[in-house]
Amino acid sequence: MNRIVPLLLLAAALGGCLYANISSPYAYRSSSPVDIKKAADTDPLVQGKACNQAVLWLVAWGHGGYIESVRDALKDHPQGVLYDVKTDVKIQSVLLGLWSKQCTMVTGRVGQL
Amino acid sequence: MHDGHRARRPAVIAPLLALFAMLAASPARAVGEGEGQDASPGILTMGGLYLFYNEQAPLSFVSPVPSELPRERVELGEVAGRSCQHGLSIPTALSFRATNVSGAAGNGGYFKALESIRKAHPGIAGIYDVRTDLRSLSILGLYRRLCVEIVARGYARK
Repeated sequence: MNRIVPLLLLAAALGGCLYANISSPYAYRSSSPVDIKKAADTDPLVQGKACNQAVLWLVAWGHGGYIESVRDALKDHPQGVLYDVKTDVKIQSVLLGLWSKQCTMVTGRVGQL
Repeated sequence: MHDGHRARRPAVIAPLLALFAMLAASPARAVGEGEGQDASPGILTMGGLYLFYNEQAPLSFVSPVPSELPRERVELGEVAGRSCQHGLSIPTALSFRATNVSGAAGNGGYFKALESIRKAHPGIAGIYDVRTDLRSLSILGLYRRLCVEIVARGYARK
């Protein structure tokens, strides 16, 4: 514990982070079924996920925004377009945030223009 | 006497850990979108005393959806652009309570990010299926960079 407290004080003094390089979701105007030529219930339903992680409140990294999340969802359909999109955020934290993970999750159907 | 010391320790550490848990929550926060229709600017803030501030930040961009595109078009595939704001914050003393002097500058708005796409694809007429992220870099809290990153599908007119 004696080793951890100075580390925590250092983190507090530096505003919580020594190094952070993360992406946050900002805006995504996704398509609706009207925008797709032949939208059907049989269009594949896909989900994509992109995450940021933080350790010891000191270091944070990741591409947890819409860009990577949509890329992940369309990895098997590179020519497709997502429509009827729902987005969620998932946050996991262990031991008061010693390790935390924040993910942007995109779910939608894949259509063709 | 030793037992008394041991009993008091957790009482001091628990609020400290709770404080750090709150600090840790900041990188895990989604920025920009809320429940309402209010625009939320992606402004880089440095805190402390600003000696210089000259920034342009993203506010709103209503991009088209596929049904709003011209029928006669050539697909250009995925296009990407970005623009950044930069900031410096320097403590005035070696103390936890020291005031920082800071400065921030940069054109990190939608306009410049879209211009970078136009420069990379001179024949582009527009973009759709637009995804926008804020990319945040912080080194020791002394240097910060906030970039708006756009990935979209581009098209040109026939």
